[in-house]
Amino acid sequence: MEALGVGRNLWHRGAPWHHQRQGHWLLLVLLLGASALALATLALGPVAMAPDRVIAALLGHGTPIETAIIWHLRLPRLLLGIAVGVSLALAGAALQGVLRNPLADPGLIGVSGGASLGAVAVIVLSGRIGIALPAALQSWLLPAAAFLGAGVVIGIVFTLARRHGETSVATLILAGVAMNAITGAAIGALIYVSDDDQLRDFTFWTMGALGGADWPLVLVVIGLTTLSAPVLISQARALDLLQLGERAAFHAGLGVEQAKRCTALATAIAVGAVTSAAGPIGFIGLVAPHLVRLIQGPRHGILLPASMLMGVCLALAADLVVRLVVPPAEPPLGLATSLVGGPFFLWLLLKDRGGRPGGGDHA
Amino acid sequence: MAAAQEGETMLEAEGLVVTLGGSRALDAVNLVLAPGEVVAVIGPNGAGKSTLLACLSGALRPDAGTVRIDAADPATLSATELGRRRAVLEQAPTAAAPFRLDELVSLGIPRKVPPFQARQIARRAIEILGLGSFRRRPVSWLSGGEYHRAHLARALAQLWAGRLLGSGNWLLLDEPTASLDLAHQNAVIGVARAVAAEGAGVLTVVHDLTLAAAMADRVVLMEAGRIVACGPTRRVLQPAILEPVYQLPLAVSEPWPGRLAVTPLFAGEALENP
Repeated sequence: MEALGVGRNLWHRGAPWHHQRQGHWLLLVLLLGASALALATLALGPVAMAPDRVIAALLGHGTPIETAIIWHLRLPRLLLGIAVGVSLALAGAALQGVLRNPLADPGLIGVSGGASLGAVAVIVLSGRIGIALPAALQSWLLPAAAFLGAGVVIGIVFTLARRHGETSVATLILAGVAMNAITGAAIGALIYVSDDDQLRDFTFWTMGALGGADWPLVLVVIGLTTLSAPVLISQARALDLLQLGERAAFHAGLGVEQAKRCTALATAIAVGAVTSAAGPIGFIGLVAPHLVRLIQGPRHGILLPASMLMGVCLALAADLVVRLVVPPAEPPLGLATSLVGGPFFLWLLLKDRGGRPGGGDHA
Repeated sequence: MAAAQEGETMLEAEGLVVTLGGSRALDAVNLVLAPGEVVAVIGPNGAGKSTLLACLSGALRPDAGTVRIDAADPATLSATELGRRRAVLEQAPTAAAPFRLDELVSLGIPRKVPPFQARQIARRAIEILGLGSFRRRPVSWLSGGEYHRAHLARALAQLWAGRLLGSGNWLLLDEPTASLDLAHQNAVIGVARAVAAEGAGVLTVVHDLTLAAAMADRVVLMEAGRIVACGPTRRVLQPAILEPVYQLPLAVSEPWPGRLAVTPLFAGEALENP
């Protein structure tokens, strides 16, 4: 239980003197970084293209091959990458805020698992039952099922973590472990009844990748991300107040239940959407808000938009790495984020044991 | 007890009953708090003081009885509106994130308040609690007492912001002097008196009876969920009333003209091992 208690102190690391003015610079730097990575995503690959050729292809003036590469392969991939970064980073920051625990991450507390279960159920069961759904409907069905799965898990985790009007951290993390075990088992059962083709499909899918989604699904995901991101960003003041605890947040004038419902719903939409298209991609929701907090401090007014841009940078950078490291093979994106995120998570846990200079601990 | 008129400024509880875990936390509690007065709620642990405060703040709905805050049932008011009408300092305030002191103090100020006024209010609250030199310091760096005062400053800023918006009549404090040294206890007494002088009503739970004597116009003595005595400070703070409740001999004296001291006379004997 020791290890579960430490999470509460992690907030108090770093950023001893954060200044509000710095925030705008950080946003600008992150925006430039994300733009550069976006351009690189379009330009780099087995067929490298100069920036002017990329723009020509985007505008439809390129050669047929260039246009095909950009429009059929790289642009949907880029848009999905942006959606993944935005959604997972915002979902991570929002969950961490509501649960007052910096270790909350859509993957770690089982939300991604729930979304995966929903999506896998659709893939396998629609194949088993043999209903050939129209493609347009299918691109909605997948995110909808993933949203349901994510929503159910968030609901369960929030409910389990509620004790005497407060959210207990240890219960939350343990609930996440349990949810991951349950969804993992259910996915395993579905895999057991699936055929060989499906098996191969979601062996890769469950490791997370940006390359697999087609345009209709990508458009749906972009739409859902555009819907949920502003909702989550608008919860900045609520998330600030929730840091006081739920009772005190209510005293300070926050409609706690409404804020939590709103955050849960938007988080389920965001995580469900990107997971249905890209598979469960871990740790972006953990790492992005943490990096921002180290630089900028805990105010959600800056933390949320900056985490969003940081998430885009991380997702695009990780995707570039997996595409360029051993071309033309593409290791799954989820492997890359977990490879970096896992040690980061460990570092967060270990770092906390060193003690903190000065002052009392009031968490 | 007069029924509340529409638009009347009054914090009232009538016939409050709260049952927590099978036992009566509050049993037929009546209380009226008027603007401009400081009322101290005293009593042993588990007497229901914090439960009463939770009912008055709107955080807890009583099983029976009514609470009226400026003539409205808190259950019918939004959290935002309640936050404008009253500010609360919790018994053990926390902040899970290392906000800067000025950020923490500003948390309870509604967005409706223009930024420059919000900054002024926060600055005033920080200054009055003697935290001016820590304004830009992360609260996780503060000592226990400074941290507690920072949260009191937050409640104060919320109250003042409420007043700016035409409300802000009630300040509810749950042990505001716990973990404070004597000079800062004195400062908190001063803050409560100043808030009352501005026209707000202050209800504070305290354990130190001498402090209650210095702070309050009226004292409410609670025991086992009931109010056993309620009235002007000097009438309630008498050995004959206090001793049966605290089960300890108490000396009430006036070592300085106008200043009451209530001293518990601890026996200092070892407990018998059962």
